[in-house]
Amino acid sequence: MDNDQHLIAATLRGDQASYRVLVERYQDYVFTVAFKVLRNREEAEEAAQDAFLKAYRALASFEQRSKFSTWLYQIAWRAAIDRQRLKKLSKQSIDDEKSFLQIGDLEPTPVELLQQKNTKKLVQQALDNMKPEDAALLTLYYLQEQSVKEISGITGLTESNIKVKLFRLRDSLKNQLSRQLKTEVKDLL
Amino acid sequence: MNTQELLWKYAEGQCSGHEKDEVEKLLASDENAKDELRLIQEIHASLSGLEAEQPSMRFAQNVMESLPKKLYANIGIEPLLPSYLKVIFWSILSGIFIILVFISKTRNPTNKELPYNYLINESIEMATKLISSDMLLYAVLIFISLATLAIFDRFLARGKFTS
Repeated sequence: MDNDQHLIAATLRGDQASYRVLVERYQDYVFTVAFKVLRNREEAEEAAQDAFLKAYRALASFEQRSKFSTWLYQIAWRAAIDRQRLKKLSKQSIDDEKSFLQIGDLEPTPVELLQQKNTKKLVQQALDNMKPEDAALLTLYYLQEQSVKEISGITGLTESNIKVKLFRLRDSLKNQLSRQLKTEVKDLL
Repeated sequence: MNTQELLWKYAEGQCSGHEKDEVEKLLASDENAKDELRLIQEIHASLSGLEAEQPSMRFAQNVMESLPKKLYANIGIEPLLPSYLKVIFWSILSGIFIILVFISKTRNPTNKELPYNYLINESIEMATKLISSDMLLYAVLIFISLATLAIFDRFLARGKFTS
């Protein structure tokens, strides 16, 4: 399989089919980043398409100091954030923990409950409740396996800021999941 | 670094040797910390197992259709000589060659009665005049110039801009 550098070089020589390989290689991740930010499939698809178009136009200026994927996610991130700003979305922030389900009395431990439940589904639900940029940040960290340094390049945030944010987000996620599980058990009883 | 932070780091396998020892000591003495870690490990596994969203089937096609066609299009350089000039050039060259061969074969014709004798004699006369005049020099110079142009044209045509 051709590596990104070869495909970029071929694209710059006028071989659009090589760019198609790059699009197909990264479309899921680019779309996921946009979707996490925008929470709407149609808009995420438009933002992702916009990102690929911008990347194509700027391909000659890509200096390969970072990975192509990092550079591309940075464009996707900005495209999605710009679109979101235009929409003036006012989504619930992860900081707004009051809006989460109320905490019940301590019964079974969250661990026991998590093991019985579809953890993935719960985590996904929790991500959906997060502020879009925060959900996208966690997605970049876990799904795309970007390092903190790379995420810094993508989002424009400092590395220390990202570390703090990631810790806060994960901790909030843990607290939220604990509360949700306890509430569900309470409802069942 | 607080305990929670340390537990997340431990679950992700990013602890240094010292931090690892610290966590393990904590886990051995604190049941709550053990439960916390198990919860964190569950969440970490779930986050790591997240699947990417998929755009529509036509996504790549839509992207390709939206790209400007000529931005990085193959830039073929037009040959410096138009094709009809090439034909003329090679015709002249071929003509000169044929005449020279013809002259060399007929410089001492044995049979002067042949019907083409007149043509042969005229050709010989013309060639002799040509050789003795500056015209040959000009012809050679023109030929070298045209040949140089043709070679340069070929060189450019196979340059880096063509695929």
